[in-house]
Amino acid sequence: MIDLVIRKGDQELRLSSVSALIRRMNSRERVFATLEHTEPDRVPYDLGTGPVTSITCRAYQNLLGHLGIEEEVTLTDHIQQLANVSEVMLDRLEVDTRGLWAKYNHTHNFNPVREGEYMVNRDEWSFTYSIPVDPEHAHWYDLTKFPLFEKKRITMKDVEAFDWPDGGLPWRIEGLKEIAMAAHEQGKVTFCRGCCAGVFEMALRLRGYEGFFPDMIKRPDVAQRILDKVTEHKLAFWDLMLGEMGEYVDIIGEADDIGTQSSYLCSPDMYREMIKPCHKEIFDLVRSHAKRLNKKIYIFFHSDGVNREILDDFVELGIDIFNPLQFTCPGMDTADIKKTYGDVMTFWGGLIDTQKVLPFGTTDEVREQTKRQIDILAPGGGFVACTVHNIQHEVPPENIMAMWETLREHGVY
Amino acid sequence: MAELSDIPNEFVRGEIEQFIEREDERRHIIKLYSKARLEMVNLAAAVIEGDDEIVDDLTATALKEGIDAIEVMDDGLIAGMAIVGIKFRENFIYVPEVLCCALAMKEGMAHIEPILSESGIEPVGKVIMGTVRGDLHDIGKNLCIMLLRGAGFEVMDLGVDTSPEQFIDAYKSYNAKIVGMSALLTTTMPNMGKTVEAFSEAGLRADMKFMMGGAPVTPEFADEMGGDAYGDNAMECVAVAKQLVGVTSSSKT
Repeated sequence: MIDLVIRKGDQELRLSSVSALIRRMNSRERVFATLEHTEPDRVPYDLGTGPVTSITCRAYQNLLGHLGIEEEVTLTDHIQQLANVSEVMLDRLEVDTRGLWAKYNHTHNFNPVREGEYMVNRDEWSFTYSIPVDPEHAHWYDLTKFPLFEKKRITMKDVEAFDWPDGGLPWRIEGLKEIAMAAHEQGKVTFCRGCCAGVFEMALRLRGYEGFFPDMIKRPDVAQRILDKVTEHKLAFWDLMLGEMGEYVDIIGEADDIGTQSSYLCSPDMYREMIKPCHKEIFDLVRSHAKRLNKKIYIFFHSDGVNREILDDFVELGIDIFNPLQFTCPGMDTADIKKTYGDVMTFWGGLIDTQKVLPFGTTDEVREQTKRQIDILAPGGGFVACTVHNIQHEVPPENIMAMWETLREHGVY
Repeated sequence: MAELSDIPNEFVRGEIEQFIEREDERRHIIKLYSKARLEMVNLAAAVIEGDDEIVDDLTATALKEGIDAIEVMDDGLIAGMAIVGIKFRENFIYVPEVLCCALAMKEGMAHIEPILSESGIEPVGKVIMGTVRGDLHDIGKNLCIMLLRGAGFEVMDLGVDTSPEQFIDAYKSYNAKIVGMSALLTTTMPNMGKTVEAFSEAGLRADMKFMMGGAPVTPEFADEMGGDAYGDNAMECVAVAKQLVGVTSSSKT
């Protein structure tokens, strides 16, 4: 950051805070300024950096058409049908961050086969994902078979016997170092998302909801073992990733959906007892790498829905960035959360509601909500603008651009 | 007037004291439990504790001893779920605990259902449930089904990715008056409206009640889609279904 020094006689006025006014920051300066809770030149913007801040392929195709950009659309995440947002689009929308997409079950070895009316994929976790063949109704791959569901009362032996994938296999990060180095050279911030969904989410996917929820109550030791096995997978991955290329990773992304649309998937106490220790172990490992590298690695954590009662826990865990701030949920009022947590956490998301206004609102409604959210979240920094969740297929490009233009107009400090 | 002390089970008395805060609900629950026989109160207690093995055992024993299947269902299983439902609504318990209770209830219903269908006794109501076309998410819908069955409804589960035609076929073969639709994706939500339209075009809309739910669905959206009712969660789904068949929750929770 360049300081502006004005001298008059023997008086000296140092204006470091106005540097933004006289020089446009590059993306790294901009994002780091906001992550350190100072105001950059403008609010940084993310699209396509990770699997919860992206855009689906059909919405992306429509956006390309709207902007008159021609390119072939490829996918970063097959399950959610997320588009690989190209460098051309990232430049066009002045996106400050670049994603390092490690290879995992949403991205790698995705070879679905047709079974009746569905395309079906089985992955390294033995998950079965399906999508309708009919393109008109093919929106997402959904989990249709849970590998550990069959047995109602699962035992430790069953857990140990499962074919647990190894998170530390080198192919998971193949080619990422070059991408990260190039991003740094461009002055962009790198974000690396982990090797699978959250520990709790993965446990639910392995056992199915009707399996794992009763496990938590009736067989807590077995449930804990499943959570711990997923944690081991993640630890192996982060050890590999940060060991091999930690110097090029600015932000790591982890996730776990603890909230629902109106409450919590399990009690906050149960979260603290069974799941939070897994999160702590992962973040401690990340911090140990950061210490070794003598740098800061910011921790981004995604948990949408209701999270109000466990935000203190997230602070205690040393989570730097909370995503997405789903402000339409009860108890998740933007102003209240910004006031209470704005000094200690950066909000990455919260720019616009993706369930109602962005897909179904008018461009005026989009503008109004975007402006309101910026007005609340931008002051003092600690805000990376982004939609609450991935932009879904049906979202009109006009609405995406109305949001983006509003961000450009109002997201200036 | 019935008193808490009339209920012959200490655990149930404790549950009511600790968790049922609304005066009208407390009076209703106390009335319900105080008229029930001891075996049924014990069965309800096992449901509240989510103990599937004990529910299985107590239900089988009660029926063997000649207690009427309807009484076992109403005074034991459904009475137990009434307390579970309130605890869930008030955030004393969450989905894992409710699921244990619902699974325990399911063990009991497995004994009761064959007797009810054999004797031709009508269920509280019949519901067709499905996730709409193009959407393969079913966790919330499955929880709704489990709790609907727990409340005495007969449910035909059409699974996921259900086309309007499949809903109509199910209606024709199953003769239910309620269709419950779920969606998780904003992309598929409009298919709720398309399903309602398909019923209208087939001249069947007047006979039917549509209830809608799912994470992105709001009461306003359900209304726009031509729905009759909206449920925010699985417990509300049961309450809504009861309203639609004309059973008020205070008389039959």
